[in-house]
Amino acid sequence: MNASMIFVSPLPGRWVRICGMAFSCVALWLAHPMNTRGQEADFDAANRASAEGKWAEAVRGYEDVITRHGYSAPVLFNLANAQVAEGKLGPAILNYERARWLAPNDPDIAANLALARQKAGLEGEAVSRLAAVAHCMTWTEWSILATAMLWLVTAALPLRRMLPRTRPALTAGAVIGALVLLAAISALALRWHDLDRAIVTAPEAAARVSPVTVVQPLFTLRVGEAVTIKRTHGAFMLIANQQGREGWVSREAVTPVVSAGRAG
Amino acid sequence: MIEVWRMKNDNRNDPSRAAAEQSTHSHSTPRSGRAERSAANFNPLVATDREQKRRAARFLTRLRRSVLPIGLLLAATWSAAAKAPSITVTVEPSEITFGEAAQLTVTVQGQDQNAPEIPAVSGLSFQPMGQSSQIQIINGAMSANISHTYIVTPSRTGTFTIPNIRIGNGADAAESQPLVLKVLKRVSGASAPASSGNQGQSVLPDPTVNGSDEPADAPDQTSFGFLRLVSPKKEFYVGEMVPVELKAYFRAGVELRGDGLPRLNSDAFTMNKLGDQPARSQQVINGVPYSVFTWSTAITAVKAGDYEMSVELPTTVTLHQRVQRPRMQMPDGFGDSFFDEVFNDPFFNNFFGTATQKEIALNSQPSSVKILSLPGENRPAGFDGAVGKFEFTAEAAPPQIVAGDPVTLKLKVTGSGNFDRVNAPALGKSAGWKTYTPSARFEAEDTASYSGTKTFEQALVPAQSGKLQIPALAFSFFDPQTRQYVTRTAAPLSVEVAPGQTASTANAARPALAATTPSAGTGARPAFPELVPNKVRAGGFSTTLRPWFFNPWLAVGALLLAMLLLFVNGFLRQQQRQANDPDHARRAEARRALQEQRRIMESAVSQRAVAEFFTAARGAFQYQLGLRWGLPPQTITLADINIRMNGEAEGFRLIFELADEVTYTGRTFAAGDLRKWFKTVQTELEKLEAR
Repeated sequence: MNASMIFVSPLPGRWVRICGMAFSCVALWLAHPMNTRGQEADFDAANRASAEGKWAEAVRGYEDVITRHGYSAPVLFNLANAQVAEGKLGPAILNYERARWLAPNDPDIAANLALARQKAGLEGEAVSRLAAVAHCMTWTEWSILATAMLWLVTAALPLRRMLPRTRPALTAGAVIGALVLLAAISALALRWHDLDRAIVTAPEAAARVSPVTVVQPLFTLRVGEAVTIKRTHGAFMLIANQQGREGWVSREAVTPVVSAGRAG
Repeated sequence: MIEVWRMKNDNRNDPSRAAAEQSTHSHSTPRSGRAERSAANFNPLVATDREQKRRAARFLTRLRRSVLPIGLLLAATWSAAAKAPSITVTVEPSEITFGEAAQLTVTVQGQDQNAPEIPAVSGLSFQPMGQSSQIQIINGAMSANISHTYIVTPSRTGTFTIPNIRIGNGADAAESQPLVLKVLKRVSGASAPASSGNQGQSVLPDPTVNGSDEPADAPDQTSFGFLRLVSPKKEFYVGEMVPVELKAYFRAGVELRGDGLPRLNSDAFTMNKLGDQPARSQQVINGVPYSVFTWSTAITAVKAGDYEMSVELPTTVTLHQRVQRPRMQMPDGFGDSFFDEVFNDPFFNNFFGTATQKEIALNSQPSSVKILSLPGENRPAGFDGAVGKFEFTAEAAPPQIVAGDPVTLKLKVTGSGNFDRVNAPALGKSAGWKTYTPSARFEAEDTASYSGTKTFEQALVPAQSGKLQIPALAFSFFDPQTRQYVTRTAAPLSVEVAPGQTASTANAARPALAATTPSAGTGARPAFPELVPNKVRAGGFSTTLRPWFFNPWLAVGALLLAMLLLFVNGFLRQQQRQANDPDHARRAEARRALQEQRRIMESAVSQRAVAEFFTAARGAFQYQLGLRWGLPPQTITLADINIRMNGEAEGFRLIFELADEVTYTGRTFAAGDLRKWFKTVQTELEKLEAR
């Protein structure tokens, strides 16, 4: 290795990196509005099909929007509406649940979900006050809040040492932050089982005592029924229904509300 | 895609064949004299082909009538089970314009294979075109059909009745039903009939490029066919669409195949897509029968200037060539020339003959046309390139809706022109409405897509309740007849929007909503009206439904920041604690002073400053010992060292003594000695620090 190889000036590489990063930022900045326009255009096309009563076309349009741009509560809501019109109550309830997962305080979603469940012959789900409070925000919002409070508390500690004059205020902030952090963690703990929530999308899904098809069904799940996934084994899932009964059902009969997400 | 359509005739009774037959054989049919008149017009290649076919047919006739008695016997056996003779007569088309010709087909089924006698009809002439036969044997029962074809040419307009045609005698007689042929007056814009000079045959004018307006040369009498482009005008505006007719004339009897569709030989025009199945008719021009294929389409002028325009059609003509064999001479014993006739019949020659195909491009005669630019003055702001004559209407349905429900705005543009340039004069961004991109649908009233109705449907969703207005919408186009721009405006539309429901009131409002909300436009209301309507804004998108915290990178990042802050806090806490400890401060001060003394010693060695060196060396030991004993460095003397070190300070006690000596006596050292003392001092300091 000679000296010229050792003392290569790092400047060109650094400038290339800086220019690359700047270009990437500009490209992202420019791409965002175009992407937004594409989202709106695709969504409008699906809405138009829905307005014309072309339910199958509308469903395809909304699913295409989700595939191309991701999940959005209005898209999932409209998709579920079109599926209700098509008579596909299982997928409709699933998508209402997903829409509610993203927008838990939207009364329209709650109303249509209740209506779809009613059409499917399902009873309403009883929710405790504590659970209702936990459901006032999304899982993501709770986790963001918890993270923010964690940062607030951990930042207040060194700031108290660096800024002695503001120490009382920082101490109070840290205490409040710690309390909110505790509340957020509690809410997340209460909603932890939501991550395993699933909807029966196939009609007459049979729950069996073991993950094989040769045994007699223990009980039958109704389409649109909400269950909790306990375990998976091959092509089967061990689920528990609202009454606490457990059984193995085919994976194809049950769709998770959250874990079936694209990253899931 | 290459479109292929074939036209084949059995020309055993073709006039050309008859003429050729009369000139080469002694046999003659009653129709040969009529056919002789047009024999001179025929292409030699075609004549050769026909002659071959004629001879083959004659051979078959002889074979059938006199050579194969066994076959006749069998045929007689089959014919016992055959059906009684019947006759079917058709004329196609049943309605023609003056100058065109229709085709009469007489199909005879049964034993009587002779051509029927066509009754005379005043104003119509019947030109025999040939015959074709078909034999079927089904479950041992034979049936034979012979179809005789005639070209029917009117000499005047009117409604003609072709009387019933009779064949056979007595119990085997059969009779057809009378037929009606309507000959209409030719409308302007198409070819007009010209004077006839051929015994009642209607002779069309010479083919021209632009219809009857422009004279042109007569078609080449020796050609297989020709093309015509019939256009109502020769002056266009850019963007203007004009309906035209493309006509391909193929001489009857020529085996000609179109290798595609006609093409426009001009880049100044675009032509609409041609149909796969052109209209087919018969015409006699200058005594020559033609099969005519007609495409109705439209052309659009695309750029201004003076141009030549013509059309081209690639075709393939099949030419049959006979292999000339030496005539076979039979022994004298046979006497008759029968075998000579049989084995030297053209049928056998044709059997060993060859057919060659030749590609020929038929072209129409070029025509001069002029394309004008659209005027720039008085051009409306909303003009979007539509040229023609249009009407414009707008309507919104339903007139009463609930907030959130869509309204369908239906815009109709009706008329004739370039509908492909007719764009939606739709509602743009509006404060009161959420607008969607309109859909378009065109319903053509003709095959050229020149006239019709283009309907745009735009979904509108009210952004507020109350009486909302859809503003007046306008549609502009250029009228090439009046040579000016025209703007049609639709009146503003009103829509009553009732306050929308929210989910909190949805349950209470559902029955009323279901009862009062009509379907919007094309059934916009969902199948379950009690559902809360769709959202009109897509909202924010998320790439996944899973909480972000389950992304390991984001989770680690969030926790790392918290851990960093905790680390900073710990660091600051330690710093503050040390700052508040006097021993720590003293030690820190001693370490700093020790470092300073070392730096002074190093400098003194390089400058041979002996006094500064030993003073700094003594100070260094004082700081080191003070740090160890917890005493101020300046107070530490050699006596203290002797007492406290208990004989362990031999290594640096001499430094103290030399420092005193140098200070008081001014003793000097060589540079090398000074460097040795510096090493000694460093070694002793390290030993002292290690203790």
